Amino acid sequence: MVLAAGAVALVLFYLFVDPSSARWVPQCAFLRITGWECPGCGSQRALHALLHGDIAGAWNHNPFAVAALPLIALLAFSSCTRLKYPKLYARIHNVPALIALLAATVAWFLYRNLFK
Amino acid sequence: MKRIAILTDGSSPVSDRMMESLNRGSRYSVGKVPADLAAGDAEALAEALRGEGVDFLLIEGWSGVLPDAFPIPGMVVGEEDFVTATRRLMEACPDYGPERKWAEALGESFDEKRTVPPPMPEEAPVSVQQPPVMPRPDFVQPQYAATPQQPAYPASGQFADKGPMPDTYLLWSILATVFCSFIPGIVAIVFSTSVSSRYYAGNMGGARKASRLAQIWIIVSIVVSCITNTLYMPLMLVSGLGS
Repeated sequence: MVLAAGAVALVLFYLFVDPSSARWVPQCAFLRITGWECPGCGSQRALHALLHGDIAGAWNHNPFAVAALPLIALLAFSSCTRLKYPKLYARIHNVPALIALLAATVAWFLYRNLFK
Repeated sequence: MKRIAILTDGSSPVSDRMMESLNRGSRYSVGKVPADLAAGDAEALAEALRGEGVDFLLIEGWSGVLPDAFPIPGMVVGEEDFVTATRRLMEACPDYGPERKWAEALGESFDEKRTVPPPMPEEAPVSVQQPPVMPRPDFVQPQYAATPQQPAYPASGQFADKGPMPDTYLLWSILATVFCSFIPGIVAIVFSTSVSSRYYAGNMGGARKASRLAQIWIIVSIVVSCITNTLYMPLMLVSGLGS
């Protein structure tokens, strides 16, 4: 499945490449243009740190991404098994929960730029 | 779940409305098949329909009748209005039960085993017409190209009436927001969530549209990030080297 292959590729990529030192790794254009960090800033470095076992370092780079990782994994699982477990897929797409997550993302975005 | 194939020459809107009303909250999966009713072979048609898992055949805009020995139960829709046609269809498909929403609207209990459908809430009960006429071996072969509207998923629990939720692409929207471009990504996430909310509101067409829009904005996010990374960033990096 495409998603599985992509996930494997991503894991391998961040295992070997350190986004801090390599200049050719895609960077946040939002940060460059506006000077504000988008909610995902640091997630590449966080992923790299996690893959090397450094959870504290990962948390430093982007705590939101680290906390959201289990949810992302659950979402990935339910997307891949959408046809086999349609009820799980439908339950995960619980609209109030998704809106709360979106609000949390915006709150994180404001917090990291205004208070950090 | 019964699968109904509709062969129509497209001249009448009755089958369209029937499909709409059956698909909304119905346990039928209905595929509409454009028919070019030229001379042909009844058996080949029945084989083709069986291969698609069709349990019932509806023909519209056709002056013939289905042959006696036609292996799939069927019905010809004549010059009648949509209410009459749908009631006739429900009579002809014997293991159809009352739709949950109708039962609730009428204050009745939803009984799976009931075989006589209730009257439609908005219209007065219509007198039942004769069962469909079958004879005459002179059958015509349509140009058959199956395009089922929805895949026939096993119906279960509270989602039995609605069919499966269209793919929300939520995972992709989140990944696009975080790893690619932030602003189109947020738009994609909004559309992905609206697939869910519209599905639960019963708006299947809107849910499918939202699903398509989510896909589009995910692609926009990826494209924007590619553009900024290949064009803009090298420029910034080069000027950054100078300082």
